[in-house]
Amino acid sequence: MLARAVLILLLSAVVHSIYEDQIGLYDWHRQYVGAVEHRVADSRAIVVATKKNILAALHPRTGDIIWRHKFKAEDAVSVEPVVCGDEVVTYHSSNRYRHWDILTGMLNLDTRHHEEPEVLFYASLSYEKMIRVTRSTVYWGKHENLGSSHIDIPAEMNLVGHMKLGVKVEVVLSNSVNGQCKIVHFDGNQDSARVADVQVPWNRGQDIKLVTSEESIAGLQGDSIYYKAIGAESFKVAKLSDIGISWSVNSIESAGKSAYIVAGNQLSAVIAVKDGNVRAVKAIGKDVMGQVVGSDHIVLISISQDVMGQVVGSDHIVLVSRPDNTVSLVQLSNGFEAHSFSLGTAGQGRGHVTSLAALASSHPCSLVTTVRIPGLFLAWEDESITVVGNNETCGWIREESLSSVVSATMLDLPASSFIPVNLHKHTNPIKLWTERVSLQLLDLQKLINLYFGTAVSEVSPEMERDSFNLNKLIFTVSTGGKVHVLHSNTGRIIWSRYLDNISPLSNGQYQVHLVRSASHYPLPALVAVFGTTLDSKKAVLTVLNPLDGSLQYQQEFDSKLAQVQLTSVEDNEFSKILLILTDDKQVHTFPPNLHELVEHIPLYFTLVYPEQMQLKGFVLHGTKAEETWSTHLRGDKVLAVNSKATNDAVYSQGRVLGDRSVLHKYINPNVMAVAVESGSADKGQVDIQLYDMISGTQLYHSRHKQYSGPVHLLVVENWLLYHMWCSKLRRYEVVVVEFFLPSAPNTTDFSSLFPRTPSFSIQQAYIATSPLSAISVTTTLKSITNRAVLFAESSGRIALVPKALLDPRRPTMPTAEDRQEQLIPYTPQLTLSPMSYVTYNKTLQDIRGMITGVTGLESTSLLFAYGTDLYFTRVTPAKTFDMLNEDFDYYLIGLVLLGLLFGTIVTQALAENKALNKKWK
Amino acid sequence: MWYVLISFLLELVICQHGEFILGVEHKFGADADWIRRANVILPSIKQSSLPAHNTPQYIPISSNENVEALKSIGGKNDTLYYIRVPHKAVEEGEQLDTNSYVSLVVRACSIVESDLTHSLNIHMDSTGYVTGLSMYSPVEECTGKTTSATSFNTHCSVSFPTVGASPDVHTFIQMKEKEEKKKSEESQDKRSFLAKYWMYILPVFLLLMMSMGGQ
Repeated sequence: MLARAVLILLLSAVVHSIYEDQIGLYDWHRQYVGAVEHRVADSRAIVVATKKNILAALHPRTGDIIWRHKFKAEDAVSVEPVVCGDEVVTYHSSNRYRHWDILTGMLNLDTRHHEEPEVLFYASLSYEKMIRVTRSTVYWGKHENLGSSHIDIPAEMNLVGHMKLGVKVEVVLSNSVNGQCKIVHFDGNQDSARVADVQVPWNRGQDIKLVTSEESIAGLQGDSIYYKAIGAESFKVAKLSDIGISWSVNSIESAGKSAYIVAGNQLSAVIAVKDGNVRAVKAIGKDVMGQVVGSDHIVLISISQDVMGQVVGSDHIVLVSRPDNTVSLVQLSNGFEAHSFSLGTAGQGRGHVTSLAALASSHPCSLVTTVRIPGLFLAWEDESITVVGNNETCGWIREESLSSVVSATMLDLPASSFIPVNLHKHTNPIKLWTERVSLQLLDLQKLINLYFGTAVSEVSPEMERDSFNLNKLIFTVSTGGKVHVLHSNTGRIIWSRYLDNISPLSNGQYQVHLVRSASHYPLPALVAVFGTTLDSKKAVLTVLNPLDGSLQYQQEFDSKLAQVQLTSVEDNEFSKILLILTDDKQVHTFPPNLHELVEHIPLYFTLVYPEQMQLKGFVLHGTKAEETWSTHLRGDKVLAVNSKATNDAVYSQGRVLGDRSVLHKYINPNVMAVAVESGSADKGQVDIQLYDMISGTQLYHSRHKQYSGPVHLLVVENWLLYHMWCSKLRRYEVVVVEFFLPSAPNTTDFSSLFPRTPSFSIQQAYIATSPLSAISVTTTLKSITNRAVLFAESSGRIALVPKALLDPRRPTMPTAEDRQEQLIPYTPQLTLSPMSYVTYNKTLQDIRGMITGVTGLESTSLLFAYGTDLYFTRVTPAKTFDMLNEDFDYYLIGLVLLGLLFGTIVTQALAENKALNKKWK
Repeated sequence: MWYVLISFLLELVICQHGEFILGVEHKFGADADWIRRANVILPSIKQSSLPAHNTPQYIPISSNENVEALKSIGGKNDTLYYIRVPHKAVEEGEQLDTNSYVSLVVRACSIVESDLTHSLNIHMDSTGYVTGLSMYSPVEECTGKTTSATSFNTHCSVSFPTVGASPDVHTFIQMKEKEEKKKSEESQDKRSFLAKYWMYILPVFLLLMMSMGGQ
């Protein structure tokens, strides 16, 4: 009974929860959809299917997500979605098709056709009628019971494509062997289909490349072009030279509606089929792709240097040319440029356009207002989505690269523009003095200016550190090489930069190091990002200023990156020196050529070779790397590797037990944990090993039989925590191991190269409730606050579990001493109350990683979780013990104090009077 | 020299009994050559409940210990002492994959200043593979002390992976059952029949008395 009371008391003390009115006060949640793969623009919603296997509807005017659905990788949307009436129809790679309500995202229909081959495309026939074309059959009818009427495609016929004009659709089939051609005619008003053979005028023996655009079909053979508009009975032919194309062309691409781009080796041209005739519209550069959007204009946007095309409106082509992203509108009938404007900031630093579509004509964004040519929906190489028109205010931008963040770090904001603590490390005292005085004069001048209101502060207050250092900059790098810096208070993007020449390192991440902090004004803060080049896979170092995004330095190395280490040595401009070891055993530094500053310090580091199942330790003397130790990991696969964070502070060296004795923690800052899996899924085993990264000493080895990955590892202070799958009992388990010393250490400094006494370990396991996608731990300024472990569950919630619940010394039968030590009695199941979730009722899509950061308040730690969504919040593992409550009554306290003071003065005077009177007696 | 011969003979004799051998090699400084310092003979590579089976026989090769050389460099604070063993214990006749070693470094001076006393622990798994080494000596920092010891005093041991913890449901349930039992025992009424039902008996009794009195 007492044990239960203790349990309830302890649990209530460690629960982290917020009140309803605190929702969104300290946390923010941003939702993303990912890089666009398929899209369809409707007046009600822009429906996108993305590389993250998400189907989402975006609001056409604001870009907000109206609804969003996530699929498994084997169930992703595989063809362009079609809007039919109030429904969006999607076809999935699992051979399933689904009908969604376009406004609410409700699933109206979900069917699966086992016998059917893969769907090639969908087309809407009328408001509620559709066509579905598979490799063997053409189906048509009302979209809810599509499949009732069908025509089989003969085995020898191949599908060329389809044309659509109003309610008329023609599906073109051809026989590649004998050149025969068949057309299936549909009419949305009638419920029938008609198959007709078409006479072909081209040479049947030769290859012909047939392409359908929306309203016509065209083929290129030799120097002739064959074309047919929708509704026409037969093909026509025209010589290329007759329509003004004097150079030889070898490919034809659809540019939508009835426009095509024919490309040669040097020059390309836009041609249009109109009124039964074919015409060349404009000669353009090579490598051009195009797509139709409206009825007769073309937008051309180059995929290399020049232009790319798309038909919009009724009689114009839009040309978007790089690198200045100018959009020009060209008339389809005569090739004249009608209008031209710059995409401006909407297109800056985004790489090239990967996909474009015209918006519905009712959209407020338009390219030309006089003739109502709708604006454009553009998807860019850096994964962003923009909607543009001729004025910048009508469009919007979605930075979808934030859905693929792989590396993130939290940075402090500059203290204040008034405290420039920067002094060059001069050896000359006179120089040092003059520099300091001049800086102080500068400060004084600034202060005077501010006092008289003559100057505005250069830095906005948002970009200055607050008194508790709660606001940070979050520096993120996405897979594609896009760097974003977010303000931690609001999640607002401060700047973005697209590094189009880099890709992640071999572990799928980038290495990010803060080389110089922002407190050395006017020297810029420096953040180093390590990646690899796209083609040659060599290491690239990019150094950016995290405050404004300016590129400070870039270097490409001759080989792959092996290891980067941030030393504590500073150069005379306060940059910490980065030591960079490449695969060819070359040692570089950043700032460059500063080897002599780090030569005298031996630097130890460890490399993991997952292919060879080896761990190797090295020591670096100046520019020479020597192998110090090595070991072989027994097993088939390295599942996880984790080492301690470099800033992992330990406040208490021991634990006081119930009998007043002390259990001394084994604190080794150089610990690395490795999880290795061996054997098959059900009979396999997981080995957890701990090594000292400097000496190679094996500190711990435990084996779990009939367990398997994925393993999530965490090494903090003197404890190790891991989460894995128990295949024998079909459940997830969490194991915590703590390391202690048998006796008190004589010295407080620790050296890995003087191993004195082996540590002993205590371990305990718990049944975990759910699979995890990431694991992290809270960090505070001095580590006085009890730690809490953050479990990011695969279901999209983040739980804050106090370390006291994950203590291997939790007793099954608590004794009086245990109770005095406030140990929680052991329960095999790790049950979490709904209040221990820091994400309260929110669900985050696909959490991939979490980082935690310290604040100026000892009680508070910051958490940033990234995945498809971003989430940021403050966590307080032991409540806000160092802050006054929000409803703290300052007036009452002040009043009481004043009253007391007044009382003291009055009574003192009275007492003095009384004493005096006494003496007179 | 004799030691080498004896140890070699021992090795032969022992290996015929299906025992396993590990050669311990060492060097001082990165550029030196590896020298075999001792042989460790393992009675078994399987983890056994008998402690004798897990106690290895440590046979030093004193001519190769190079104690004097170690003492001479021991004063230099940054020189490292390297020690390694092959990553698999071999039986007689089995070829050793010489490129695979498990190694470890410590400060050379820590070995010297502890009077060449240290413990060497070989971490193995049950298939005879070495997963790691650990070496402990009582020295905490180098003071420049010299030693008069002439040979290594090594305490060698072998350890096997600990069995990973799993949730202790059994004990927990037992404890819960015990608690339940205790509770149900507590709640059982141990009062006598009269104490329990006096409120029913008393009126009947009174009624009877009264009716008797009336007669």
